[in-house]
Amino acid sequence: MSRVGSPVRAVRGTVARTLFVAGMAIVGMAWLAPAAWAHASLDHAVPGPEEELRAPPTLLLLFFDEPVSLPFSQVTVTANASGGGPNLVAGPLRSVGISGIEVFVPLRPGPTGSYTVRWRVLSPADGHVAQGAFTYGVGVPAQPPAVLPGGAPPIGDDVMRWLIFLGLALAGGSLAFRALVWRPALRAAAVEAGDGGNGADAAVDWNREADWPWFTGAALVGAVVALHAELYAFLASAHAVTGGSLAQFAGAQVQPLRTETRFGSSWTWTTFVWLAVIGLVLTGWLGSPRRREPLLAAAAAAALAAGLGMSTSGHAAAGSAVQMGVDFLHLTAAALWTGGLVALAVLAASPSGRDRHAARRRAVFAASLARFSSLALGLVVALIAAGVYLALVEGRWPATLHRAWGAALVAKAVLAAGAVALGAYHHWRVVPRLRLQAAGPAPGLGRVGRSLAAEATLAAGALLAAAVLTNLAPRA
Amino acid sequence: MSISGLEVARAHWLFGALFLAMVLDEVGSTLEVGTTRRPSYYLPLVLLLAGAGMWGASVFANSVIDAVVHSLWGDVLLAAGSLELQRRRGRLRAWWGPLVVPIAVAVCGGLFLAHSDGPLSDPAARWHVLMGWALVMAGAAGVAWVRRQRQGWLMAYGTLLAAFSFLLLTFPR
Repeated sequence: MSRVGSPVRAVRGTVARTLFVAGMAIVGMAWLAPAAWAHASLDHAVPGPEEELRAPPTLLLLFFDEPVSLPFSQVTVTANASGGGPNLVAGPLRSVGISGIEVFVPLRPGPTGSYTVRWRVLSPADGHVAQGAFTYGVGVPAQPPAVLPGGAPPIGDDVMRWLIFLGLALAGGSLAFRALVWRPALRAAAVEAGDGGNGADAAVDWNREADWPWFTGAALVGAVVALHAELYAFLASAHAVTGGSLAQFAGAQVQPLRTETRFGSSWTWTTFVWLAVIGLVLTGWLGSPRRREPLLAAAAAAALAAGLGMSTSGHAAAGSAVQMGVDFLHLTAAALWTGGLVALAVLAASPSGRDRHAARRRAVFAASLARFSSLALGLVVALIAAGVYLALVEGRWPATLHRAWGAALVAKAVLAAGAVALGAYHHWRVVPRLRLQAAGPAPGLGRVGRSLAAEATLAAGALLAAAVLTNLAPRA
Repeated sequence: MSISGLEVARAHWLFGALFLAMVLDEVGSTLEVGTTRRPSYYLPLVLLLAGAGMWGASVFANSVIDAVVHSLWGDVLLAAGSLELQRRRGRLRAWWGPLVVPIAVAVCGGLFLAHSDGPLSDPAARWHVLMGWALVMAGAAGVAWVRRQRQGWLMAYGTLLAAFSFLLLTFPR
């Protein structure tokens, strides 16, 4: 005799598992914190901040915590008095060591007074620009640096990185979902319904719309969005180096940045990868159904490979090849998870009472959700494991939380944990319920669709927080 | 470091030759009388190829404005190619369908004019202005031909597009 637990106990068990998974996700995301340590920052300087000197210095030494690219770095030293006075830097910046972290700045001697040093450096590994200021005094105590007008937050770059994430998820994630989850579910449903043993071909016969154009549409939108976001993210990074007004920037020469920085070279090849994705999807869409699957699978692989552009030019690029590989795994898992969620949410919304294929569509949806739910479990484990590895390799504990950085990190952890909790709900509650209902009348999927849309929204929100995090320095 | 003038000129020659072939195919097939042909996919495919090529050119552009304008040309050409392809496959039957390519040509001309920021004494800037106006006028003639169906407008459309191809092929660098 089989024992069936009470509904109350089952709900308690689900709640406990959901809370456990959400808690683990928060811990995992918190471990991700140090992955954002790779902004070049000033370690110390000679003369140092707020130092009082007896005689004017003829050189300034700046020590950064990672190598900086001198051709794209600037240092100015000006008097702290009103008006500022001329820049005392007497020649080009030079590196005095082989590590590239020490910068030698020749200075002209100035009169007695307080001086402001403003530095702006490009990290060639992750492509980020860091800047800061400090003061020293000559014959007098150092005064606080004067505040410069402007200095808007890098919101444009954040948004572009988020759009690249979404493009990866929409193009790579949804096409991979089609190949790994939806097509096998379609085939299984066709065989179960007695449409013949010819697998997917038979399935396509019983439902012309089964060759769901949503996937190609989503992949095209994702690829086009990412193609543009890659360009404007590069231009935002270039503007952080060159500065100046929009009119001045329009004429700025960007070829050196493209060829001599990692973010430039990654933009170069990812542009061609996204163009290839668009070409493959269009050819698959217009070509014969027999050739469609290999072309769309190739497009999915190419779109996911475009994520390497972020891994080879982001924070992980400051570390080893293994770190870049793990970062790529992290990104790929996030793209597959988010893209699959969006596809499932749309799939849940498509059945309706007026649709004569509603029952079969519902069966395909239930099978897709069950397959994806198992896959997502592995993806979330990979996501957290990769984050923990990156944290252990790159981290410097205990982290000193920068205010904005800390807020973004907490937001990311909460959003991701919410998505994982909803995923747990779908895995342990919705999938068994749909299995039980398979034999009876088929109620609508509206509620499931809404909860899937909520999970996808939370995952997209976590990606936005991740995009913000990548552009923030964790230390003040 | 910047892309050399010779490389820029080669890219312009390539696009010029591609464009001229497209114009000859398009206008020549339209002028054929008394023959029924299958719809040619050459024009939309060339537009798609040119759009992808423009995006490729944007990567190698020397300045920010060059990169942005080439990417916008790429967008216009890819969108026009996709819509024209759908129209020739019979999937797009909207009244504005035949206007897509002439309007795309005119928009590309507008972008050429926005792109030419140098003084007119500079031959390259002068060529950009000429190419821009050639495309804007070709687009206008194309729209007039679609609306009025008079052969004179078609001849003007084809001649201006051929002139644009010639200007591309002789781009001074």
